[in-house]
Amino acid sequence: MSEKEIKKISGLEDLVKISEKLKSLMEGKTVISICSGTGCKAYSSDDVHGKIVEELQKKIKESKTNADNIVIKKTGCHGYCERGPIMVIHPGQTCYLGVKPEDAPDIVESAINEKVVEKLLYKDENGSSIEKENDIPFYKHQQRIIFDCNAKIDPYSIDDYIMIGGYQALAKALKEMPPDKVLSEVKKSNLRGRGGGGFATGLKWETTKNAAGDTKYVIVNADEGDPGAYMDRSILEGNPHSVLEGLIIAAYTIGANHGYIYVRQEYPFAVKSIENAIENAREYGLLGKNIMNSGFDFDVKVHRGAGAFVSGESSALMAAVEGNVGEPRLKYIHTAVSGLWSKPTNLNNVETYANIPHIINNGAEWFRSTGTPGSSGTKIFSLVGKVNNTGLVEVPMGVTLRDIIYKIGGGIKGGKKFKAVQTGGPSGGVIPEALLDLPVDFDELYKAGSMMGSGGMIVMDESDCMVNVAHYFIKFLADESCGKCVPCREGLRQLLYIYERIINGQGQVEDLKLLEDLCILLENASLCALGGTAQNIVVTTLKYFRQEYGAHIYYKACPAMVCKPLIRYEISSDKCSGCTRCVKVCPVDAISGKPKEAHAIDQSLCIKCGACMEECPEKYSAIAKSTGIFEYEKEKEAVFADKGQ
Amino acid sequence: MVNMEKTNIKNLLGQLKNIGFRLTGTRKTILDIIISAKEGLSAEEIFISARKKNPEIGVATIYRNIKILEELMIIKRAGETENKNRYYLSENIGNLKINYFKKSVIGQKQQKKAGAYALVTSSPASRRQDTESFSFYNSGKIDRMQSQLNEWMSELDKIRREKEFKLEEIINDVSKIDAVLQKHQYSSENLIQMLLDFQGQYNWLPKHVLLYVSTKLKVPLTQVYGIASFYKFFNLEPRGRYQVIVCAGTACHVRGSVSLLQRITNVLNINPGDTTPDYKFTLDTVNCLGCCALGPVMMFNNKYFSNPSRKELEKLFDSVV
Repeated sequence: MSEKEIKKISGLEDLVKISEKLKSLMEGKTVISICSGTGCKAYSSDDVHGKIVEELQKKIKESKTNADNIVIKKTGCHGYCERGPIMVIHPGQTCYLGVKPEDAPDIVESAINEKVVEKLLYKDENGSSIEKENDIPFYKHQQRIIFDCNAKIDPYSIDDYIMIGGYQALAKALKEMPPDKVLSEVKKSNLRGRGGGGFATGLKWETTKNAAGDTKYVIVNADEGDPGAYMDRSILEGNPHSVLEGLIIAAYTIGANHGYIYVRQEYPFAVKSIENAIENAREYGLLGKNIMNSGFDFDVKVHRGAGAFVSGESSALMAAVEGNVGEPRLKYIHTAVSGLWSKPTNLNNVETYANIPHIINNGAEWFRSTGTPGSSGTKIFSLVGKVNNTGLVEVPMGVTLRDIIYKIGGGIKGGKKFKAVQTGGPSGGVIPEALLDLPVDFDELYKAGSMMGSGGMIVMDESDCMVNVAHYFIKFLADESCGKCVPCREGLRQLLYIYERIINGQGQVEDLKLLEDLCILLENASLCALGGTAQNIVVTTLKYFRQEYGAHIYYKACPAMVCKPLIRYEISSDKCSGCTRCVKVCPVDAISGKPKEAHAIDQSLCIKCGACMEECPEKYSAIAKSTGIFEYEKEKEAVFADKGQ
Repeated sequence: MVNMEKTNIKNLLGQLKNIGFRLTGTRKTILDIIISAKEGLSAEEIFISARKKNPEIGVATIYRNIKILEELMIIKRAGETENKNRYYLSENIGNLKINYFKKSVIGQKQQKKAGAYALVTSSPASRRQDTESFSFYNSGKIDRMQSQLNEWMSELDKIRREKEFKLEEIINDVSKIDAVLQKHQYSSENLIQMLLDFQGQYNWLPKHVLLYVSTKLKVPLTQVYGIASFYKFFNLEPRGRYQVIVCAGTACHVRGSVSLLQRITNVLNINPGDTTPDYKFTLDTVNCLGCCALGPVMMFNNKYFSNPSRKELEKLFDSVV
């Protein structure tokens, strides 16, 4: 607020009063909100913002009518990263996609005159344009509860959050509900941890609450290490107060007076945004001593993680907060009982905390009304990979994968054929086309051999090699294994050796059995989930795509033409015009040939970098990739008929 | 079986020596055994015979040298009896020279491409690999000496850079270090946060900083080093002025980040994780940059680039020179 007549907020009435006042101030104003999430920033949305501000000031100087009625807001991620930078004009909800700095004059002009810039609107397949954000197919099939506020508020302004009803859940909990009641509400809501495991949040809180000891801690786990998942970052960057509010409510319920937010150093904007949110909340008396005159003290500290995937595991994270090497420990005593500095500690994911204010505000019944009986509420997924509409999507639990990929994601890029979707990051597995109608919730995904994880959803098409994907994840995990327990350290290394052998064309028939054996060992003997869930990717690829392993091992062929040692680049002498372009780009000088003569690749020198194929002009396209023995295609059904698929 | 006159073989071995292949005692023994044998021998049989000639010879040495000789195509493996490989003298031993030369040519070419610092700038793992392959495929002693020399020179370079922190600078630094420690209340639980700040200030963690932190906080130096080496964000070696970050997240991986990384490696002549000899560029991979829509994506100078081509990369890197 510009004039700070209320320094400290003392209850629900204050919050409602401020909210009403701010709303009345915004009455009749046109808000241009520009997404400045990481995706849109990469598309230089900051330049667009700067240009729009400049343009608006010009108009104000010209004293155009209505010009001072326009407010420009930099908001958090809107989710539709594929078509960034995104711009939404409220109250009409006009949505512009792919905005460029040079569009700024048109946008400002039309906002003043309450018109629409036609060329920036979404076009459907018939060519007709869609104006409203919620009518765009990408948004239409979503149900945005947590993510909804992202597009409405400036993450650096606590007033914005209060205006849309923020911190009212906290006031309600502190003033009207004793901790037991909050706990029973959370338990009733059947909220499950959004970080990966899907452990019941209420149960977790209860264990910590009932654990012996006066000092207790609450921690936000924002060490989002899964490659291809960035929803936690988007919540922290776009709506940090919702996480903070959920955290304070959790602390109040459990009886903790200290909290930590563990954020990755790789997310500098998230660190900045949450630190700013904490400072603002302190100013308003929402953090610190005697919050809202309730007698409850709570403060929170941000701890930056220094880049270790395993530190996302609860006991490892706590070790890192203590200032030690972030290695997990045996959890025969759960961290809920003996965690940070051996005190009872509750640790939840960012998204879990962001759900809490909604549950308190609307009640457990309301929350349970979305989703499936086993998993209620919504979940944010990051839909990435070979899909037309890359972005963050929030859907109720129980929606099928097909709906997510085809209705929201708009199908596969380049009209290629869908092959598999990988869920749950490195701990998850792949799901083939046959299971596309699987409803997405914690239990169904687990049954299919994968897991929800933090919500990464990587779509793969026919040009992806499943053996290569499994190799990628095993390599990732082998790199990130902390080395404390032998099964994980050595098991992953052996898995990696076997995979390297297979993709180098030296796979042996026994390797498949060996992989399966190692998976059983890893699952049962690893200290933490990093090793314990590593088998998912191996087992699911073996189960659903065994024939691809067969092609690599028996035929030394990579059907998707990805594994470098098994492919070769060749120049067709009929098509080659001898332009010498490829000769120049080859980094190992493997291509020989004079101008105007067909070139040839020396296979013994070729490192298969593909530079020549990229360089070859499209009109010639003389360079082609090929792999192993193609008899594989003919024989695969006969050979693999009895092996799985 | 190949029956060649001993003198011929000796001539050949003499030639080999000229090419740069080291004819050690063991190799000579093995070759002698194989030449004089009437039929193919298994590795174990070679070992037993070799033991008679030189009792100090180990079985591992035999296996290793057989592998080398096989790679050089002097001997060949043919047929299995009772699950044992049998070795013969190669029939087309005349081709040896050509094959060998071919390999050495590759060695030279790669080295030429990669510049004089090629060996040193690579990571320890690949460096090991390089030296292994170089010792067999390189065209001779001179090349090997040259590369060794380069390695030493570069090590010296590094030491020199570290030494560039002069005593006065370190003394001046102390107040800066203290300021950071003060910010974190000299508390050892904030050690990681302090190191993060130092990493931000220096772009790496110089030795004197770690030493000072250790004494000031009364934390054992091993613990400080333990943390500095465990977390990926910390570097114990100076970094380049510009960081080239390639996203190796899954989404980027399936969209072709491997080729992008290969392209950058070709342009900068360094492997991921390494710094160019002029300390200008450091090439790094990260698990996810969080802009999967752009994938495969590269970050340079705080800007994102979606799948830049070789030409674009060259232009980009030249633009900051």
